Amino acid sequence: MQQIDMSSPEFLAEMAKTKKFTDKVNKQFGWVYNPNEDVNEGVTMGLARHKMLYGKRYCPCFMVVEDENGKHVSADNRTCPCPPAIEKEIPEDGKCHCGIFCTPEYAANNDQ
Amino acid sequence: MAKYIESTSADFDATIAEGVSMVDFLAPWCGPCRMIAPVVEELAEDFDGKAKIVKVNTDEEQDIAVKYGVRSIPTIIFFKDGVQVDTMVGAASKDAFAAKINGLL
Repeated sequence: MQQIDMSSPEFLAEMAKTKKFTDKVNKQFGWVYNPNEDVNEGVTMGLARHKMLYGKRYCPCFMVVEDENGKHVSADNRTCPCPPAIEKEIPEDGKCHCGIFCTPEYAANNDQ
Repeated sequence: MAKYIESTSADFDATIAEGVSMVDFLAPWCGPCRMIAPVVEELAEDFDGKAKIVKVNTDEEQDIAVKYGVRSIPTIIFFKDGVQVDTMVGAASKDAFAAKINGLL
């Protein structure tokens, strides 16, 4: 697999773009970040990494696989913000599978 | 202090060949993987000499993940003498993982 220098200016610039993207998603859907900052940092890094590797913000908690044409796709079509998170996980569980996007109630109840 | 085993395709089959193993298929960028990391370390300590606690980085070891049908991360697969006997998808409590291991010992 292609390696990415996560201290490179390119990666740090992509991280900044990804943070703006997740800020926008939270604002659009009325969600908030996970109270565990380590979760947010990891997922943001993963999203930025996938954007650089594959050109799309595939969820870092799902495998990226090759389809029959050799094209990289996310397992279960998990491109952020993914439909399962919007339609099921966040309404039912209070957070997406990755945990970066939460309802305000979930965040308040799990803030340690 | 007991530590988990970080396995690669070079040693995975041999690692799980005997006894009970709990394999954590993870990615460093995955939120729930980070949440259960301390639990996995504690389990390695608690089950030292009884069961193997193994981590596989799916970013680097895609072949193993594909072989065992891993699609979402974390996926925890339990093996007994090299045979896959149970699977848990997503984060869970230490007690839930420990119960699965104890059920196989």
